[in-house]
Amino acid sequence: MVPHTLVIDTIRFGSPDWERLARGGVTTVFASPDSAAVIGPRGAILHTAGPWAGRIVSEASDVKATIGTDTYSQGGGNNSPYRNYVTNRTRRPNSRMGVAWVFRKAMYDTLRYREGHELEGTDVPDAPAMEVLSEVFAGQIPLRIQARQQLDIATALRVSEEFGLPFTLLEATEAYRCLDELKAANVPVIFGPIYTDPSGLRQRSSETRESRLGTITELLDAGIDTALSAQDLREEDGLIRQAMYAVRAGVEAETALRLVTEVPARMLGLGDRLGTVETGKQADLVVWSGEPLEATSKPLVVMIKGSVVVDERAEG
Amino acid sequence: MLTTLMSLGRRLIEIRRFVVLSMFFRHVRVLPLLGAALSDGSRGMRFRVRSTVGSMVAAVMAVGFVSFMPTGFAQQPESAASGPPPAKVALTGGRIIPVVGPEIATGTIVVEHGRITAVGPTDEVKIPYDAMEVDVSGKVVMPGMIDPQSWRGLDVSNENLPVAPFLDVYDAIDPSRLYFEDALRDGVLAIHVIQADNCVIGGLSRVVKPIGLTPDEMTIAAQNGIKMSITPKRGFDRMRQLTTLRETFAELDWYLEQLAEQKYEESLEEKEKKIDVGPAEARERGKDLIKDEDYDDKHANLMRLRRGDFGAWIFCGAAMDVQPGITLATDEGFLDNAVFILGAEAHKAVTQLKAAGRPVLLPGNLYYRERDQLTGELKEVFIPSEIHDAGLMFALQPNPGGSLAEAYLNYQAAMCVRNGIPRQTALEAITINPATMMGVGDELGSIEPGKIANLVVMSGDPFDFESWVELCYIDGILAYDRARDYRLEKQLELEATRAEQAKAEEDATKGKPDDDDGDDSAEEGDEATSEGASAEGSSEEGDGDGDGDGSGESGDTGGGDQ
Repeated sequence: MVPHTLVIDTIRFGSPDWERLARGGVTTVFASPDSAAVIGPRGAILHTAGPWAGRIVSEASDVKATIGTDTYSQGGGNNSPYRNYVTNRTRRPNSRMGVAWVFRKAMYDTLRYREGHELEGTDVPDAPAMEVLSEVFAGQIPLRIQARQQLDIATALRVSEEFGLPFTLLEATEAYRCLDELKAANVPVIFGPIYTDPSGLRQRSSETRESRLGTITELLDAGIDTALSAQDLREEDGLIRQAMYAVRAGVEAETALRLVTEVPARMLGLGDRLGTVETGKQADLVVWSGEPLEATSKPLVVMIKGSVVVDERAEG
Repeated sequence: MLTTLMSLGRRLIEIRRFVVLSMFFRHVRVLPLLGAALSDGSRGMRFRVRSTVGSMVAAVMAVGFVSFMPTGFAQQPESAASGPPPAKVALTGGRIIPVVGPEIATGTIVVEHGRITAVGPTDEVKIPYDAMEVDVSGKVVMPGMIDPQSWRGLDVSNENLPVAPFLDVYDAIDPSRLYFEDALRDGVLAIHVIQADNCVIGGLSRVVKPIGLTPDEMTIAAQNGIKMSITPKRGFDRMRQLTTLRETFAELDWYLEQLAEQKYEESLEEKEKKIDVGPAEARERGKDLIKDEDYDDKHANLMRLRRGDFGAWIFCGAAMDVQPGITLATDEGFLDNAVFILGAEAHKAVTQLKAAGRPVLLPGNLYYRERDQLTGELKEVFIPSEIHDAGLMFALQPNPGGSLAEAYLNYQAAMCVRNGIPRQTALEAITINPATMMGVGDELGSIEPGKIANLVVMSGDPFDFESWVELCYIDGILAYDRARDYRLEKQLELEATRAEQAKAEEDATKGKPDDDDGDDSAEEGDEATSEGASAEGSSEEGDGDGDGDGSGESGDTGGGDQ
């Protein structure tokens, strides 16, 4: 339960991953916390290139929560902080029930905190965390919940209904199994990535073995507000390729392009600045060698805030 | 520990699937049925999707499957056609990419008895009166793509003997692998099945098509090539690897001398003469007396390798392995039939490869990324560009361990186009080049009269990821029809539901209570049950694919120098 911590404090601007993202035509990123905490840190919105100070769009953006097995089953890599001292005798979750309880307890604590009660007991959350969650309740800070499997999506919908908390659903690999519920709850979805073999965090969590190619089309057909994300995947599984997969799955090219530009900009609350090429908007532009969603095209020039950050014309 | 458990789990799933498959196999009776069962599909060229139980059965696409369904299921009005598949087929109206020669905007391909007999613009080609005409207007016809090396069709990718040229993948090809079904679905109509890289000298390879129930039925060319690795086998270091390689051929020379001496002595005994010369002279005189059947299995294949009977597929995982590989091939006389298989970093030895002038097989991951140890700068090399700039012939292979798209050969070629390689070169790298490397360049890899009729009909340009493989013809017989691809339909779940919706709307607007309504409700019921069943099935399938890759990766790491 760490919503008062900030991802921005751990961003390494010198990482070559930023360069790889920029070269892939990505100009703005929601740098998300991983899924190790039930209610995790607040993400940051950043540009992928340019002077470091100018890259930060938002230092403290959405709170990211995780419903699923990631919070207690991940080990190794970046996800080992609890590994050595989590036992079934601690208050940390050890099961999906425990995860839901940690989530609920945080919300109950926040409600009591907001009413001015003093919090007591052995597991009192930090006051700054309560401040952040109070703002989530007040609708000032958006909440995003990662859930992959059907049952986790169902839990996310249930707890959000209990507390009247609107949220954005992340990843949603099995969304095709609960389209009606998602539609009824009017939950926006940041779907993806689409993949055949899980890698990295997904491989370790073993929550889902594949993402069905048709899910994105079904989400759109059901009229659910959907954006596409590549999450941790790069290059040939990167953001523009995710849109390309959507086209293969039957989505119109123009719609697929919206899923990685206009829609995510709106979901991040930056719809007035980013996401489309319009007069008055920020000049984050990519010049492609051909149709952006074609397999034979690549970004030639990438521009952020009007300055060129990638120029591959000379090389190619 | 975790990985062990995971691989164990995958193993179990694999076993379970095998049990399911073997249940199907009990129904196997006659293979020739398959042509009959499938040929009618192209006769009508119906691209509609049916969703009754029977059609789901018919839609189970792997060709074999159709033929071994119990007869009760197969008796659909559509698939009731009997008799052999049509001997003559004409694909008309499609855009033809022959790979050899210019594209034909609207052309016709005539196939007779499994071979292409005529290709050309529609108004120039005469269609035989008894040919079955298939209209492929608006679609693109290209030669079947070729996977230049794969061990995913083998039950185990490596034999743990360092030097094993007496082995043959024939004994290990598993026709029930989902890999073959996937190959068909992706338009890969010839596969070079060869053992993985974790060896010194491996077994003999085989070129197969992705249909058939036994390795014999699948075979296009047997005893095609031999795998050789310069990169150390697991447990070896480079010195031991190269010593073992040199030793193998030195031992072959020694064996030949002994054999020659023995043959000379035997010839003298036949003439009841006594030995008249020293051993050196006897060996010289005995050389010509050796016949092919005198060699034992191990030495026979090494001899044939030297003689150029089959290709030497030399794996060089790192740049430092390239020159020793070239030297070995030159010294032992098989450079002229060598193909160099490059690992991620081996492209750095492009100068040596250029000097050798032999074709190369590129790694699945076409980008080589390296961080400069001193400056931290990220360097990215697109490997095909390096090889193409050196003027070498190259072939591409799919990258199943990479992204979703890289598992498709045509996408790999599209990436080449993206990085500035001419379209024609990229096309050749997935068709005629691998065919030439496998020594079947005059049989496969292009649409030309006289070649085997392995054709892929795509919905659009092969370099457009939006395009789907619609039809596959193997030996001129329809082997795959996307409209009947049940597994793909489940993956997408689109057209079925959309077609149903459209139909429901249509019926609603017409408002006529005809037979169709009754059918509709029945179909929905079937859909519902199949949905539940497929949910588990699909996750199994995913695991199965993972397993296939897993074995491939284990081969990689075994041979790789990490």
